[in-house]
Amino acid sequence: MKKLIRICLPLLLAIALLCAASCGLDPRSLQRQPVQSTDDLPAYSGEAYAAINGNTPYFTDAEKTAARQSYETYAELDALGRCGVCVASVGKDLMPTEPRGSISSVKPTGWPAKVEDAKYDFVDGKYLYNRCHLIGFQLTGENANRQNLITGTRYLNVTGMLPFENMVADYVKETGNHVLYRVTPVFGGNNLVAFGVLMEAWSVEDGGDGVCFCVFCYNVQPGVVIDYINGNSRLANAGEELMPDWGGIPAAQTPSGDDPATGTGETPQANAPTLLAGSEDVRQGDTATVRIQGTPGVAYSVRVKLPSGSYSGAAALKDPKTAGTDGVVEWSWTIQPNTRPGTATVTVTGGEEILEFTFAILEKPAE
Amino acid sequence: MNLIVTLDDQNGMLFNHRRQSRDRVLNDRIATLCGGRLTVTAYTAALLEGLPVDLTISEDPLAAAKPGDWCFLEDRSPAPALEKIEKLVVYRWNRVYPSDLKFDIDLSAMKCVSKTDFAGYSHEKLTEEVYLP
Repeated sequence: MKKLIRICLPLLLAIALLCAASCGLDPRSLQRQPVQSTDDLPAYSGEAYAAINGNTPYFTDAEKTAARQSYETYAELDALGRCGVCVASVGKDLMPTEPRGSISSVKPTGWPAKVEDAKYDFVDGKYLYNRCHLIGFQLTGENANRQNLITGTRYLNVTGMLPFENMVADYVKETGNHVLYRVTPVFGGNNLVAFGVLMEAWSVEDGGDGVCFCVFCYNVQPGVVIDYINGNSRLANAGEELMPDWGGIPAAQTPSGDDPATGTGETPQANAPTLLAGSEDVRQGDTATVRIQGTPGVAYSVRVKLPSGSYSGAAALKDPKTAGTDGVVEWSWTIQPNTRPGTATVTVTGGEEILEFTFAILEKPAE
Repeated sequence: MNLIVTLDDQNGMLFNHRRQSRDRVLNDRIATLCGGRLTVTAYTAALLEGLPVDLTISEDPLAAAKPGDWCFLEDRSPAPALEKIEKLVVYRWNRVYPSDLKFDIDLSAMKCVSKTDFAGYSHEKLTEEVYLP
């Protein structure tokens, strides 16, 4: 199946991008880099990864809508030969059906001329560096794709990235759903070795209920100091900082300082949101939906007060959503079968604006 | 109370308010194990939808469960109910996932009386461990 996908990939990608375009999505935004500078990221503090942006990915609604079918894209290498943003809507049809092949032919930027020079007894497998997949093999079956491999430490590969790849892979295998997945290597200036990778994931069919994260994984190895300019390394002294030059470094491949949603570089002024569509009568166990017209680039939150007086705890309502270029934001969630019938109140907030309306929860008919 | 939890290799339970993983074979097994009655939170109730289990849904299932009841806990710390536990069943994913909520009971202080491997739907090998206080 993977072979068929690979043969048809250009066609499938064109279809995906056409669909994206029809949904108002600029296909170039798929490879938009969310991180502008290392100032946008917390410095390494001893943990393999850190949650970013409240663990909410930076995907726009248009990008989420376009992810209802599988696709994968890998940015062209830049002038220095470095990888860029890799994006996929991971579905079962992209997953590998054969064991991984050799990737030793690829030498990513910063790869040591002699791997023996980057060998440490205390590192798992001895070698400091792995050819580190940006989108893991278990997700899209990419082998020796040089646009998907960076020089990464064993620690980044196994302790940082692998747990997140496992979570996405097992969710897709179990549910057959898609996960919108983006991995962005963050290089400082003209460095050949990345400081780390930003990993974002959002499960499509259930609106992020199953999988939702936004984390930065650090390209470090405890006990080793790396020169990110060229990949040279040495043993760390006791108590020495592993990333001493962190902070204020512009991320490479940043297309502009523009706000990704508005393209203006300014914080958008929120207009009052208006209701485009909202469920009126929803039975217990059915799905309720709210769609609003907001302001591009503004984050909106929704709360649903149930007839019992408590607030819905649905995961799909937990995280704020940022309006894409069309300004439209949508939420869908399930009314639990045991929810008390009556009137529920929906409150949408964004900027300093509020939209409020009600809908009825009806008893599920007896079977 | 008989407590059921699912854990990864690092005793993680949850990441970003979401379960680490799921498997339909495991859900069926839990439905059978508990004899068709289970105390859960609303979050877990949604996972078990469609299974032949009579669910008692509570915001505090550890407090709601009575002696002999089965409680499947995913989204909160089990330690406060340590004294109530008559039997603990741990299902292992045998994988590493990210986690920000960890299982906080010291298993070395309990007695492991059985350990069984079985195949899941999306997991090659799941493991059931049964502990007694």
